[in-house]
Amino acid sequence: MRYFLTLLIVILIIPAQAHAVGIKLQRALDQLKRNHYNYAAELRLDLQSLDPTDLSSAYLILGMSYLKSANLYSRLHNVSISANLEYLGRISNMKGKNKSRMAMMFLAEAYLAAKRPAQAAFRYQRVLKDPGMSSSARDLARAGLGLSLFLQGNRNQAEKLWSQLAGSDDPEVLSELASAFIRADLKNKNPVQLSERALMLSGKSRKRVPIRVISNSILVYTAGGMIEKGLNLVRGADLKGSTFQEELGRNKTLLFYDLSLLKNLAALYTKASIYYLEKALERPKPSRMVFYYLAEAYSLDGITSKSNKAVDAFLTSWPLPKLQKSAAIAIRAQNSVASGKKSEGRITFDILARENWQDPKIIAQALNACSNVLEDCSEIVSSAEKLIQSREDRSYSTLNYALGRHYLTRKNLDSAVSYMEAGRDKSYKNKIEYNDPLLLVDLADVYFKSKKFSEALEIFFEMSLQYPAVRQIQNAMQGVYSMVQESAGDVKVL
Amino acid sequence: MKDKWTLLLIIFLAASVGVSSRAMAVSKDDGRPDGGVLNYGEYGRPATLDPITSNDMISLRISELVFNGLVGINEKQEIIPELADRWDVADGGSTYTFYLREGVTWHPREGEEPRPFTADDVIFTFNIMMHPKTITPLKVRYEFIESAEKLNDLTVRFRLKRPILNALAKFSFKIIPSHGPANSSFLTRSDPFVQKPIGTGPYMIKNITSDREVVLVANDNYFRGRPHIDRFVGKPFADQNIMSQALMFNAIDMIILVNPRNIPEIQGDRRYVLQPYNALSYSFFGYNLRNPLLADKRVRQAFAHAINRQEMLDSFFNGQGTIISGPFAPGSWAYNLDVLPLRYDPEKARSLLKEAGFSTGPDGIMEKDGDQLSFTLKVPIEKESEAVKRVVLAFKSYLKKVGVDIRVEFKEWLSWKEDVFLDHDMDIIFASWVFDDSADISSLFHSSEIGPWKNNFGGYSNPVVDSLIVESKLTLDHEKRRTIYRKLHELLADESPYTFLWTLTNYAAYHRKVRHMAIHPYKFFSFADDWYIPREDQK
Repeated sequence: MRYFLTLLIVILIIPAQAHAVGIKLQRALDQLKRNHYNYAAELRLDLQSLDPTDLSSAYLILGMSYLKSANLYSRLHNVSISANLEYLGRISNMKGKNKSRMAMMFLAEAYLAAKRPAQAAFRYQRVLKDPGMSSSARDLARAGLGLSLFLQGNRNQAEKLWSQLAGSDDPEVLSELASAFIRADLKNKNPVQLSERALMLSGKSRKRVPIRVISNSILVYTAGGMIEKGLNLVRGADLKGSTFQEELGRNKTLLFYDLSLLKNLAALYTKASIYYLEKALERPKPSRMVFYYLAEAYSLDGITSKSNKAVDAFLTSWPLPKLQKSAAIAIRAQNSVASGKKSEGRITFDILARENWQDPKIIAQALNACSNVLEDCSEIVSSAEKLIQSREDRSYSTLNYALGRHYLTRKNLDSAVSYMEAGRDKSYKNKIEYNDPLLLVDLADVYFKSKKFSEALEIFFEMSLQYPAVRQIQNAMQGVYSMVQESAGDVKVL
Repeated sequence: MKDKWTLLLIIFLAASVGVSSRAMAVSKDDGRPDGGVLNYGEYGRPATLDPITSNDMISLRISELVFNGLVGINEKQEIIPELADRWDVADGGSTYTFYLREGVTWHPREGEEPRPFTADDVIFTFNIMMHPKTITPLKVRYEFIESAEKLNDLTVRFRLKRPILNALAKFSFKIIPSHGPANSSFLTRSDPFVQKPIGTGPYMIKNITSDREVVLVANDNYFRGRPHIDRFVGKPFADQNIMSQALMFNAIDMIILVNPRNIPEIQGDRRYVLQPYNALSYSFFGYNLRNPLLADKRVRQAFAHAINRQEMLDSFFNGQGTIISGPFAPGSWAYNLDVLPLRYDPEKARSLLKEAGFSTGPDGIMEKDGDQLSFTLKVPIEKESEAVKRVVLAFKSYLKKVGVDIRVEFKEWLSWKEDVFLDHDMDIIFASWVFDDSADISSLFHSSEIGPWKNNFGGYSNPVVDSLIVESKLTLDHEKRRTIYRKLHELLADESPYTFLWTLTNYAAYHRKVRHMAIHPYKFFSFADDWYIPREDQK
């Protein structure tokens, strides 16, 4: 995730609003506060039955829920790619009679999802050279290789590969082709039509719609602005499902997952957030918070000009508490850096740090924003560490997390884990209802990278109860853990 | 006058001895101070203190302070040298040759000079561990070794029956001295060595007090340098709540395993650090399948449906854990994520019991052919904490609602272990297992592990499970082993030899004065020789 700001403001603003709203809105707010964003977003299904005067609040809640989801899935995607690159790399290097064929294919997909098209192309080519590979897998590899080459500037070769797939009636191949066209920004090649055909063909089979088809359709719908359609598709899908199951002898089964799914979900939720926040803005007397969340959502989507306008509207329309004001300024500073005005952004961050050196929440906001876009955040880090040393209690948890995240992005794992653990509510160690899910995802990432696999797996075990799509991370981490662990085989009575 | 000179001479000699003894100590030379005492709270007493006969975590932790293996495993899952400073692997992984560290000595017994550690001790340990009369859960783990041979005083060679996965890690078993046990052929719990063992590790057992506190003192001759903290004292507590209070009132400096209910209180106190360490553990109700009524899988499944695990976890442990569905902890690589816990459904429980041929008797207890569903649940007395009491009473109450009578019997720890692991004199037990990263369940469910002091206390036997376990041991393919474990999870969840309950949050709590803390998630004290207490806090 490029942009992150704590949404503490939710706690400050919404309860007061919720006082006057109906039971459905209250229920959604409760779910949002429990970090059950997907449940909170179920409010979408109740929109028709709401009192028109509640619509403005309902759109705001939906916008916030999707924004939270977008941030979460974006972070999950990064962790998944990192874990799966390691896992798939290991199993594709295995030797012996039960060696996996498909590992190379999914390793190629992992590289493509990690925006490393050259490495992806190399692996796709190996897949195509493998005489034992099924025709369906070859076609998928052609679609992926085409995209890898296209992203490296070889359009002709890409077109040639893709042209071989036009007549396919394999829904997974068609949807992969549609996805490739979207990622290559070739909307003139009718990706929507291809995607619809893939879904239609899948629907004819008695089996469930393959998760690859769902994932690719989400991407296609999102790119085409068909947000409601995308959200409806997700709602009925089994997001924990694997894409492919490879049987290698009697007792060896490998499960492979769609590694674009989490990113596609993040993109869909970002657009859904903007969609509903803009709708909220169209209502009479919108809440000022709509501007704030729109600023963040646009920023997340990379539309910095619109984000800055929303920041300006937020800052100038009303007198604001210091915390909210500084949060908006931090978004603007992020946007400055993202649009190339690095020194302007840095100056803003440094001013935020200097002027608010006694306020842990503001320093945390500034540090989070800075860590996302700048290499050097030394002034804020220095303020944050001084503040932590002077006092430490639960009110400092966001600051501890911000410091931990900062060190994670700098690959200082010891400091990262130390600060994040200080920010974690240990009474409910892995519960997303009590801990920011982003903190838990980052902590799991640190633990995985520090080879403390069971800590990471426990976090995702709990998270999977609410967000089943994390299964692809669990599978990869379990796989690496089983290969890396060195132990004697001991068991004792506790 | 003569007395005065004698007294001075004694003082001088004593001082000289002190100086010379101190001079022998090999400092770690890391700039950190030596000194201080660390009192730590345990939730019970160890049965034995040696690494071979013990099968509980309290003993394991003490073993970690007192003994070393040929190799160790660090926090990053890397094999590191311990008593062996290097090794060779040959014959495609079938031969392991270990070159032993020179100059290592055994802890001296009172009045004795320290004796050198040699290859004889390694061979002795292997032989005594594998002797048929030695009571140890380790034997099954080392059956893959064909032979152990001394090549010279500082070299040993192990030949394996076949190459296996993670073989090197298995040579982390602790080495005991050939001059240690009274009986040099085999080791039982009656050998004096198991109560006051000597090792090569950073700490030496000094004594066990009348309150059953285990006092350990720094080994000045430790081959990695003298540990920083002078003395460790393990204090047993029957109740975890009292242990937490002892920490809050400075009676102890560290708690090994914090009761989840006490986490908020400790978390709110700046004097202490709460540190997570993820031992792969879970709690369960285990059934003795020698009882014909419990041999019917439908009865065991009915028990699982009859109890509301989530309600128990929420009520008695503040929800600080996770409900599980099978024989692995959720943090393990082996957990089958597709297997869901059996749901709370008393109706389903009753229906399963009826299907098994039981009907409600005149006193409300289910019966069949005159046999009532009436069982004894044995719980070790160290487990008699408030939360555990509530769990077992809730179990009794839930089962009563479906017509099953449970009599709860609290037993003293050693007596409980004898009933469960030696005599198999129980119907149901409440207990917890802890695993290292290997998640090896073979000793729990393989039929060859039925017998005195073996871990398959319930006598569970299933040829399919046996065959899968054997196949998992033979394979050199990690992914195959993972698939097999997923199958075992599914199978054992269905067979329900245990009612699998939950895994609880594991936190240690310690006073901030203890520095450079790193905790091994399973063995806990692996890095304790590097811990230290600043001089100003060594009061």
